Amino acid sequence: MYVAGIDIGSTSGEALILEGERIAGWSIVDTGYSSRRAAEEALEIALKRSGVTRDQLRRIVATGYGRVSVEFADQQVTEISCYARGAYFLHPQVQTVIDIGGQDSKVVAVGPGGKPLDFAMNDKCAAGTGRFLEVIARVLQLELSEMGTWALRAKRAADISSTCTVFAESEVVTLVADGVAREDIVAGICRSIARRVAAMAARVGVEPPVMFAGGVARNWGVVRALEEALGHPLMVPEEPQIVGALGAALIARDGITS
Amino acid sequence: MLRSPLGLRLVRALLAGRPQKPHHYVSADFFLEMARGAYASHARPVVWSNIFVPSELFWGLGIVPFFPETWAGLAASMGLSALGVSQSAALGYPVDLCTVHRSAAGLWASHLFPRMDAGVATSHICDIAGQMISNFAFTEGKPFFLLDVPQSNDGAAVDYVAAQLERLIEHWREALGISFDTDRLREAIRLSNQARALALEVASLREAQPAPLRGSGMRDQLAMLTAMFGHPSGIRYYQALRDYTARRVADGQPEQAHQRVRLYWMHLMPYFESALLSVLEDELGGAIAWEEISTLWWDELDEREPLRSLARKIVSLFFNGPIQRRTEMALRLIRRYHCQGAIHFSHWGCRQSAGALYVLRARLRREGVPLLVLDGDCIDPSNLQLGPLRTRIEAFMEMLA
Amino acid sequence: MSISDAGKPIVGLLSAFVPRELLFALGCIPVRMFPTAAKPTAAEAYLPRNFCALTRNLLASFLEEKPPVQAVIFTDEDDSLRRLQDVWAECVPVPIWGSLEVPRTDDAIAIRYFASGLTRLARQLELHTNEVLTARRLRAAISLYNQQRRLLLSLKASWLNGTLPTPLYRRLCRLGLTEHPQSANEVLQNQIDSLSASADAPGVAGDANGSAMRLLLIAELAAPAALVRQLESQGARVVAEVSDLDELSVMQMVAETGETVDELLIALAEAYLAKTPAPRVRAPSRRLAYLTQLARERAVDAVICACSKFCDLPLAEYPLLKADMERIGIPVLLLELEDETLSGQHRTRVEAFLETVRAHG
Repeated sequence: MYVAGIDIGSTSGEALILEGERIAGWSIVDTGYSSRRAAEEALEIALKRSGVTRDQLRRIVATGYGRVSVEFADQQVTEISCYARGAYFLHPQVQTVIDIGGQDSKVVAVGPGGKPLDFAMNDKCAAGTGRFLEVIARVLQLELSEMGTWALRAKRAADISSTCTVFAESEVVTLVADGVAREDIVAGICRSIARRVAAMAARVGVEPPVMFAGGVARNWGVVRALEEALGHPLMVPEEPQIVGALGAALIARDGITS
Repeated sequence: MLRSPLGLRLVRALLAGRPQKPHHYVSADFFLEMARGAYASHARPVVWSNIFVPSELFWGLGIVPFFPETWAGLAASMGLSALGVSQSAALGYPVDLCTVHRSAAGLWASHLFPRMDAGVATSHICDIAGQMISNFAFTEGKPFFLLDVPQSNDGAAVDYVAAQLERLIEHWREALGISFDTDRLREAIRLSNQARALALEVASLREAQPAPLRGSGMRDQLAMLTAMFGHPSGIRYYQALRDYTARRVADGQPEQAHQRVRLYWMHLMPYFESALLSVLEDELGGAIAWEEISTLWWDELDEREPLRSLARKIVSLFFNGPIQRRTEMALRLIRRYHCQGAIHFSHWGCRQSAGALYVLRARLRREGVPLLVLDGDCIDPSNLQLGPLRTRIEAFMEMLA
Repeated sequence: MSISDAGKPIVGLLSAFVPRELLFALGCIPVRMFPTAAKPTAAEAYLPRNFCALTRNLLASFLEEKPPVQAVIFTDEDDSLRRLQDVWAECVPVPIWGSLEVPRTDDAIAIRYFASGLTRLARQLELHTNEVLTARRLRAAISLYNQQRRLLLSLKASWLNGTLPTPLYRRLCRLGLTEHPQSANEVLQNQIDSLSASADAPGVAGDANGSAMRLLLIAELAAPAALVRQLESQGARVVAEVSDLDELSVMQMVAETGETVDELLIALAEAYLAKTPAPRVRAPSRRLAYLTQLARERAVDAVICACSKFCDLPLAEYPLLKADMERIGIPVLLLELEDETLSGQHRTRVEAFLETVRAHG
């Protein structure tokens, strides 16, 4: 029995095909201008990789910012529930999952069975999200994928005081003009994100083990900074970006068996 | 009053041909009468006040109260918040201040508010409510009296506030030429107690399951609680509401048909048209069994000691003092109304209500009550984004279901 | 004698309304808390981000830097302190030894109420310190702090006549608030002696011909040192600071004539309530009259309000202040600050303001 989970965020969309307990295949696409188009594309690619056809899917659950656009889904569920469920599947001992996405970040306290117990979200402000890193990467003329490596080379993380992405950008320009090393600036940005997210996490209450998911979890500079800010080591899945789609697929499967 | 654009809109809105519940006619009538007294008549002095100065005092002294906070909410419901907020920016009020007070400032500056003969405010609950009224009074050259309210609610605090109420009456005698008729104040106390008893009946009726009343329809309760007591309309209003609620319970016909989860709503609700509550109630079946702003917090007033009673009413408001008072009240009401969760609407700029949410959340969590915090604005629609709030509400309902 | 050598409990104060005399008389060293954390981020776990920046910075200081105080005393003077007290026990291991209710008026009723609050506070402190408040000890403490007031007034005169530089004057004011009063008084006295000794030397304040722009700063706890530095480096001179550091402290002498503890507490209540009005008293006529008079006395050219972001009371006062000052030809700049640093945007605003004031002569 095959089911699918689709997670459409503001910057990327993911789809995952599940057969029982086995992940048959998954995909990541850019969301672009159309959530619906991205959902179709992500699903097609995931099906192809799984060797499964659309007809074989028993149930589809959509989540994420663009979930209401996925009209062909059988159910829409928020990413809070999906992240909790997906994290629990990957590590049943997990107590807290943190997701930093392209434009939002969230912290979910995970209860028995992967049910969310509490959560906090930031989706009003780019500071503390992947967008912050994107903006700064552009200023520093770095690839986003390199930011983590640069951060780990820092000797002394620069102090970024602005609470706003726009102002932080101009602050970074000043730091560059003052001759501050790029790696130190990148490390400062990672630390700024980590502190913001850690403060949000504290409102929910951080219980270890803590999983870090979402695209920004690929950035080891943020991983290290977040571990330092939280005072706990982080579990980072091999594919941190598909945790939401995984959770959606599991909820789809649960919907059939119940 | 009808020369004032605000007054005209008010009349239109209140008399609009939408279906009205019986108690709505009473409240519309009451607010029209208050508006007439404030805008159109010079028979009685008009005193601007924050909402926590007891209304019994005004009605008992023959004064027409004008509550800028309440009228800012009313203006928001009539689509006038953009005017109020933008005008307040032109005055120089920083944008991070609460929009209730900024909007009031803007509406005052736009000459949409009635005349002011004097100002009064309590210092408690909200820092800038009193500040704004003192600002208006200063600019208008009118006298202002600050009722300094301590955080304690013991006998010494009551004595302190009661002594100030005596001075306030003296101040109004000199400034406004009113006469202090003890019998009239006692009558206001009696009327207040009668309304209080009826309001408590409503509170008991609302324990029924399913919840007989729709929480979104109780948005204006704070205005009733803070303006009607001491006036005959208070009795008529709560009588009508009691009868209406009792009928709903007896007939088994709740206002909200689809109810999955019972909730306790904390703090305010958007005064402007917003789909926020309909998402919660109609789409997701979240039933607001009780809302914090409907909670009648004071003991029966003693007409033999009117000023001490009113002082006690002032200091005993559970928003005053340490957060534990508000938290324990929340837990009592959550249990009473069998609520499975609580939602706190954090109005932007309201430091007193949102400042200690960390403690509130922790306490509720220890008692097994999940709390959802919604960041929004009850006056300025541009400051309330439905999309992110919808996700939070949906996630919360998924948690509770 | 330094604070740590005294062997007495160091008690942190978050308000200018807590009589330091009372704490000292009960064997404590009262220390006004200044934020030490660089950023308020740590506090965001417990307080909303759109909350008084000064309060968040103070909380962050306790969370990150852990100031060496054994206890704190709170007051109820505004929303931010009230809510900070609410969250304190959940996140800061420093105990609260007392909470003082501070009236917003200074009439006889308020003074009596405040004095009864001081009595309650004294009883609470006696339990914590195992000391007993006596009239003799309280009178001695009042005398010591009155001496400090006299010393500071003398230093203020030197500052105003240009013989004492602004940064040094501010450091000395802060010393008075944060050090053991006896050692602070010695330092203040030494500074006065040093100024007398160099009385014939040229003025050190760098404005020998009085051409610098004269500024009035308004802040809550203290205007940031970075702001004062920028102003002085750009040829302006701070001639008045209405903050807890200076004008909002108790400047008048506290009466020492009381024979009993109760009489002395009344004297303290009178002095502390009657001090310069802050926005919290909601009396714009008094406050604005005070500020415009101060501006005239000190021949102020311009006003800078260095407010903490999200600090409602001073921010809600701002439109009236601006209108009142501009009516007498004094321009006003508002800065909303997150912490002690000045961002590039703030520095630019200050520079532009000074240029504008100069351009209009």
